[in-house]
Amino acid sequence: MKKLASALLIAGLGASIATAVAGDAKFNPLNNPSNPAEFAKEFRNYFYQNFPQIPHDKYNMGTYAFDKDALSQYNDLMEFPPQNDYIAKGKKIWEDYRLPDGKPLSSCVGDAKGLRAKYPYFNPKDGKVHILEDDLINCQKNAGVPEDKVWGPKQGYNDLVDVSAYLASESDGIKVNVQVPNDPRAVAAFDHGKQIFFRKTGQLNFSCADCHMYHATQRTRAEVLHTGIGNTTGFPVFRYSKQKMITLNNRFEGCMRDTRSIPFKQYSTEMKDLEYFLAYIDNGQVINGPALRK
Amino acid sequence: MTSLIRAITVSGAAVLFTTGLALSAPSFAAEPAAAAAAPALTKDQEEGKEIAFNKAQGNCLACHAISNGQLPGNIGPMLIAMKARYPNKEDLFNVIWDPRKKFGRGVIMPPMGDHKILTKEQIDKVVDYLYTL
Ligand code: HEC
Ligand code: HEC
Repeated sequence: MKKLASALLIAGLGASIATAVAGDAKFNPLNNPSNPAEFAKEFRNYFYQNFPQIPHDKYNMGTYAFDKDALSQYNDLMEFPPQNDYIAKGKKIWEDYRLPDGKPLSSCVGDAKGLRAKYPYFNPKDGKVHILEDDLINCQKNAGVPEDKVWGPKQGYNDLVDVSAYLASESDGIKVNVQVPNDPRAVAAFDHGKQIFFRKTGQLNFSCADCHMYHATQRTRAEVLHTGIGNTTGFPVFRYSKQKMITLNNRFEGCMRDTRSIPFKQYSTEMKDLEYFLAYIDNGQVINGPALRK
Repeated sequence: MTSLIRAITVSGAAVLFTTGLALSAPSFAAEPAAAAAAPALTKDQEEGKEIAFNKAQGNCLACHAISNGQLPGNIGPMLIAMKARYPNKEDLFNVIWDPRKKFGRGVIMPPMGDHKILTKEQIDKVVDYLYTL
């Protein structure tokens, strides 16, 4: 009851007339357990309760989990999945690429099969969250690849995202199983990601939660807002509106720009912690990338 | 008439919402000639409409359905019968300047004035336009 009361306070009970707010009570992260496992459970329950129309195992479909019109368009496009070209290109790059010491990328991060499903993870050795694309970049940096040849958001992005697409396909069907070990640094990284998700920012004063939690399934213009579960499962995704394959960090950056704030740099600690938080929420969902999106 | 509106305002916004719609009906009926065509907007109202519809300015359509606005979002309430719902112009101005005062700090609507998304003059024009709805 106390929880409900303060949630309503935040929502501004004073004037709630018939708005289109989907949930009847907002989810206030401060009123929920800080323990990651319990927090994630409450977070998922918010969606299960407010959106009973979405089957629990369909959250990995983004908006297609509940937007029937978009789904039929999606099914038509998926007759010849445009992702396949990217997967093929990525496979070739993965096999042909050599680090300066003559070894392939697998010598650094391991074999392709199931690799994507191992990310993101917390590494107790350096106390940091690791995400797949950033580890590929670091393989190159640590092996002495010249600065202007290292893949990243600015250069070699197509190679990076193609390899990412290939690696996603090699983990297709595996369930997300991200761990937040009992290490204060891991919990701090999770909390950091959580904070970024809920914090209002930018000139427009939006938080990720504003769009993907409190107003999930509603529309901004013609854009249907997906929910807070399944943010990470399909990435990288091919966006047919842009005719481009994009990584998760690139997507985060786009949404941050939409709030008119200065986005965090891709593969910065902030982005990695945000990915860690959202991937942990996705535990139990099936990896189904590289996916197709509008 | 004004007292009727006030009575409705006090009695709750949800009721007001429907009554507000009903209120405009008799006035149309009284002037059949004006009923067909939408009344022409003044220069300020027209500018206010442009600011409200423009994606780079108010972008109100991202969240609100507004008469004649194409492809509106459905995050916020429909902007209709605004004069009846906000008989005091200043109240309407204040909601747009900073909706957090009325709806709490969790509200998704951007603080148009407080965050310098729109100027005071622009919001005045938007209010003028909203009063025609
Ligand atoms: C003003 C609204 C808005 C805000 C704020 C916002 N997003 Fe989005 N986001 C969208 C829209 C619209 C889409 C495209 C439709 C969809 O998948 O929801 C989208 C898509 C996404 C996607 C792609 C999902 C997929 O399955 O393809 C991710 C991931 C995402 N947002 C994460 C975030 C994060 C993280 C934040 C905060 C940093 C954020 N968003 C803030 C509107 C927003
Ligand atoms: C990102 C979404 C969003 C945008 C953009 C937005 N609004 Fe809103 N607006 C809302 C929501 C949500 C509410 C309802 C808040 C509540 O009831 O808690 C609201 C409420 C209002 C209200 C009060 C309605 C009432 O019934 O009391 C007015 C007036 C209003 N908005 C006008 C505007 C104008 C004018 C613009 C553009 C200059 C605008 N809004 C842009 C989301 C938005």
